[in-house]
Amino acid sequence: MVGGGHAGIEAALAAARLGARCVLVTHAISEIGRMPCNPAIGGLGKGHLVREIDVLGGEMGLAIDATGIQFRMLNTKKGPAVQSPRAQADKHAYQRRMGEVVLAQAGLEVIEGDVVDILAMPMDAASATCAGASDGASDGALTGEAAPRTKPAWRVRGVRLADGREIAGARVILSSGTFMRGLMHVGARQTIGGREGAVSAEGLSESLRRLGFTLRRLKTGTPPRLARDSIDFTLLQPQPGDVDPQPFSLRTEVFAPRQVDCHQVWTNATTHALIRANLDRSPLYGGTIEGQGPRYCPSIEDKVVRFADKERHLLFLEPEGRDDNEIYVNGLSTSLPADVQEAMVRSLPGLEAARLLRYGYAVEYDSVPSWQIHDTLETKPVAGLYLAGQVLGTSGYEEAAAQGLVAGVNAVRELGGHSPMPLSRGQSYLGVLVDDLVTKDITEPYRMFTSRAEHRLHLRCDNTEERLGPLALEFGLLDARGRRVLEARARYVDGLRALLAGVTVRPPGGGPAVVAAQYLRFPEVNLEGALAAGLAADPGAEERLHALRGALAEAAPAPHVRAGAEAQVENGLKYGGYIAKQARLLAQRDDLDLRALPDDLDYKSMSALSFEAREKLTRIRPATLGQAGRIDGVRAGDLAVLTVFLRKRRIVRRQGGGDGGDI
Amino acid sequence: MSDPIEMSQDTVVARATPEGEGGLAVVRLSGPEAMAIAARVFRGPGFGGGSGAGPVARRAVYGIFHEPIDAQVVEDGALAVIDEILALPLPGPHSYTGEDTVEFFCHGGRQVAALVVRACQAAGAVAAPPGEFTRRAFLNGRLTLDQAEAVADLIQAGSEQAARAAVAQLRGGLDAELGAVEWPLLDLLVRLEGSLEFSDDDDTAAVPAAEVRLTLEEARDGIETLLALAPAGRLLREGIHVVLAGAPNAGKSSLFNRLVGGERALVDAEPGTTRDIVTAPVRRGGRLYVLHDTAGLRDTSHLVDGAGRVETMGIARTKETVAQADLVLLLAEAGAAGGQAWPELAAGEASMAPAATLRVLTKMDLAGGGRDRTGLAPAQVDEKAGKPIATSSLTGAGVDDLWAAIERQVEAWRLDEAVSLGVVLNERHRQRLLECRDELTQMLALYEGATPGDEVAGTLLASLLARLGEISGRVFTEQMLDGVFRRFCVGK
Ligand SMILES: Cc1cc2nc3c(=O)[nH]c(=O)nc-3n(C[C@H](O)[C@H](O)[C@H](O)COP(=O)(O)OP(=O)(O)OC[C@H]3O[C@@H](n4cnc5c(N)ncnc54)[C@H](O)[C@@H]3O)c2cc1C
Ligand SMILES: Nc1nc2c(ncn2[C@@H]2O[C@H](COP(=O)(O)OP(=O)(O)OP(=O)(O)O)[C@@H](O)[C@H]2O)c(=O)[nH]1
Ligand SMILES: [Mg+2]
Repeated sequence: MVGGGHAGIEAALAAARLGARCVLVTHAISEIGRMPCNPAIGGLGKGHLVREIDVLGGEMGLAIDATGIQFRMLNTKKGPAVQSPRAQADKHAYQRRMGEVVLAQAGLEVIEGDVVDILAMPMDAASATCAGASDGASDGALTGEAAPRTKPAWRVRGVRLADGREIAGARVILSSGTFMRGLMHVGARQTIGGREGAVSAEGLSESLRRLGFTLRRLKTGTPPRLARDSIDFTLLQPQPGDVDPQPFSLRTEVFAPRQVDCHQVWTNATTHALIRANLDRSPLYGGTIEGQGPRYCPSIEDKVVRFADKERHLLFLEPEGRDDNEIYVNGLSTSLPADVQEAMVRSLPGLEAARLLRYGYAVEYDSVPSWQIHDTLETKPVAGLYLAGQVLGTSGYEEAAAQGLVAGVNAVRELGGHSPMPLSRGQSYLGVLVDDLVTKDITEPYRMFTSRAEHRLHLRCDNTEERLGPLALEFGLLDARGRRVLEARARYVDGLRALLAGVTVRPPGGGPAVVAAQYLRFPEVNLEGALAAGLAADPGAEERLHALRGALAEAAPAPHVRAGAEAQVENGLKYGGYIAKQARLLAQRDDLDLRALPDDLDYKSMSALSFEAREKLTRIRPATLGQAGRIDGVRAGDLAVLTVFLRKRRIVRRQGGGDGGDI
Repeated sequence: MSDPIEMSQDTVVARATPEGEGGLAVVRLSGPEAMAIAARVFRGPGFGGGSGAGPVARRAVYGIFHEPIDAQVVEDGALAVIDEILALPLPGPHSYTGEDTVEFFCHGGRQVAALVVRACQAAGAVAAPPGEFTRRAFLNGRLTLDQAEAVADLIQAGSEQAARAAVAQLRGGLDAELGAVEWPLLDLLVRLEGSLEFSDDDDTAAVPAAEVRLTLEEARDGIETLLALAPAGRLLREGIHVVLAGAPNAGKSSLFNRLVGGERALVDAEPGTTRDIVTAPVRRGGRLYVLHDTAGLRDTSHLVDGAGRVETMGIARTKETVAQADLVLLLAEAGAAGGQAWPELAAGEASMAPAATLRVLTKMDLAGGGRDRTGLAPAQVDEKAGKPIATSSLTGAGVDDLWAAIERQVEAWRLDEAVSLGVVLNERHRQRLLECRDELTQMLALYEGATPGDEVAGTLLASLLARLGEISGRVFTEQMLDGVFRRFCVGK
């Protein structure tokens, strides 16, 4: 594993826990698990990912539960499918804890160093031949592009550090974050480094290029940090945590966080005028920054320019730790020069005397566009090399951690000759994330949103255990305690459902008698109400419920486990109709996901495909027809062409003809 | 029917240009044996007994087209010459079909082309069924499905109007019309999702249910409009089927001949003359009509002889034809006293086009010498059906009125609109649109009861857009997010 960020941590822990012998090489052990930006975990879509990572045995949920200082469930005014937990972390505590867990992990050795080279040997000549290279009949529309190379040209064998040391590895997972040729900007001042106070990784980009990778420059930014003791909080609107905070992890047993407030503050006309007056000093507007930044996380200068008619923008002051003097200004990401940042901050009420502990900055870095990986996260050009995290063009701790877990598990499975993790868009946000990575042409740092999931109503936080638990058990990703809690929870869910389906209740408002499960679908009824009605109708039900709860409490005493299970049962029933409908609608498309597209198709020569489809298919090389259909620009007509082609090819093969590859 | 994508190893031949007037006809010979067969019937540079090196690809050569060498009786080494023509060798894959192809350019239209086709068959080629070249082109990856469909429409285009519509579709008329349905839905989705993803922010107010309803209703109307154009697609492709029906001796065949402009159907004073369906195409005003003359409708149960049996069969065919008609001309003999009653027609099967009926009085020249200007017998008066069109096949009176009435009826099917929009729906499009319409109807039904949450509406809407995208090829996720970020100023 290269890189002890959020991706590297989950990759290393997952691999080691599956019994592989692992080495994690990272620049600084003390920096393992650092949060270079927002001191928070979760959020819409991201919270879903953390829950999934957790059920699959990952560490992120446990860590934030242990070190969080404010927990909020977002979107409580909306339906349960789009509710997602978010927590402020004490970032030092979080980092410390992650470091300890990693260092304590059996089978995992941690080495400090700078990896400058991925070591790889050429695949033997025979297996490295390029399919399609023999084709002379393509129409020339795409000439000048390399023929599709479907077999990896290299096999990884380890890494080399800057000091010359070589570390052998049958599998290498690269999660170097924002470090490859990292370049930070504050106004016109440029500093080399992957993030503040850190070095950059200078050698790796060249090493990857030599192995045949295409790289792309991306950019992200972070706001200034303020001294807590220089802020007059009496002028600010506090934002407390939830009264009844819920943990992320199924495995968290003791959970009683001492919560702190965040605060809200609005920008004003003075702030905006300052920004406008100094735009020419922003590297973003001066054209110094070439990397593409994320649209969803614009810098304050972007906001002021793009939403010129908005008079104010909302900012959040978030403590970076319980006792920390540093305050993170969420919403004020900027790369304006230091003096402008200071003036900007001091134009805000309550912040007139604020001291800036650290300035906001933008960072540019090299990433590896993700069409160069398989859905296992193994790279296409180099067998045995996996990529995970920000280096693949995503952004965010959760997205990184999710990929780290997938890469770690898959690398070990593959080493042992086992099948990779089956992930699908219909079963998890992890599946959505990975499929998007291998399907979309990602030109800005990728962030998870619930709207990316077409099965959104099914992919809820509350049923993560049911969706991914069986996979976790089958792959052996959970320790004994995790397994016990998971199984007890599943039994409770089943029992509760059976109970609701087995008693008939008479709705108080009149109307015909219905089973309690049906009654629960009434808009005004919740689980508690349905259970109460059920117990009233059937004297035996009370005893059964009691037994179910007793069994659960014995195996999983933490109250949040029961709360989560009950939310799952309630929401599953309430959404049931919609989910079934969605499933039906999507089943057809999911069928296409089972139809594999051979590795060696030469799309360029299929002139029946639209030009755009040929170009995209050649680059992305989808694994299935379904994935092909999700590529922007690939039309139903193109899919029909592919379908016909596949059938024709089968027929030709059956008749003992050529390979049919010269359509 | 054979599997449409089964590959055939036959070499096929057929005229590649439409049957008809034109001075030049192209005969296409396509398949693995194309070059060899050509060499058996054509002698010119690179072909036949000429120079040893084969034909030069893509270079047209003049030469002599003759009966196949082994088929003709060779006398004095002479070839049975058919004509002097141009041949264009097109080795695969750079041909229309993607296979080895030779195209022959024949002067003199029909006649020579038919001889060329026959000679190729005699030399080993198989007659190509209609659409075969396009089918092969598609299978060999030379055409996109949409193009293949449009080309197929063009080939079958019986009229100029159909050809124009097919061309317009190649240019993407349907796409634009679909876009007009998609974009407002996308905009709605953006707002729904914006309110979900950033509900903590101040400027992402929930979308009022009434607005959601309105947008969904408008989208449904838009799809209905497109669907309303669906019959037009078929009418343009296949022509408008007009069936003449009425009692025996009503004058159907006589009127048919008038409308067709030729003595195509037999006319006789004896009732029951027409037994089988007589069909003839008519091009008029840029449109293609297919006219059908039928056997007279009457009760044949009292007839026991062979003639009765044949007539009964004829009547059964008439009914079938009527059931598939786009437009039925219901004929009855005029005459104040002796006029025939309108025949009863069983309700046609539900066809894609709304089957319409026009009532026509015949033999007006015989009707009451002008005493009764309508020529209607009491039994023929039907307030609901309105005034029938009075005609005489003898004098030709009223025939123009009848055409005018037919054209008015066709106007109502909005063929011109379909042509100008370039929207010619095929069955695949129509099915998808029907599904989308039903989907919208179901979503609207949700809004009748308790308003579904934005997350439900957004999810359903996204899947609807994905279905529309199956026709339009647009994938909306990124565009939707783009819209969210453009519209809502969001922090992290
Ligand atoms: C300035 C800035 C602003 C950000 N803003 C946002 C934001 O607004 N929203 C958001 O969601 N996310 C943001 N992030 C991103 C978030 O921090 C990352 O997505 C997340 O940390 C990625 O995790 P990772 O594991 O991929 O990489 P990182 O957390 O970057 O970890 C990489 C690790 O690898 C090590 N490493 C790298 N190269 C080498 C090498 N060659 N040899 C040895 N060790 C190496 C590094 O030392 C580091 O420990 C920001 C990050 C930065 C730096
Ligand atoms: N005077 C006059 N005679 C007509 C006219 N139209 C048809 N007839 C005569 O009516 C007789 C029947 O005409 P057809 O056209 O054969 O009638 P039909 O409806 O086809 O009859 P069947 O095929 O037997 O059912 C023939 O003798 C025609 O000459 C008309 O407009 N004027
Ligand atoms: Mg007749």
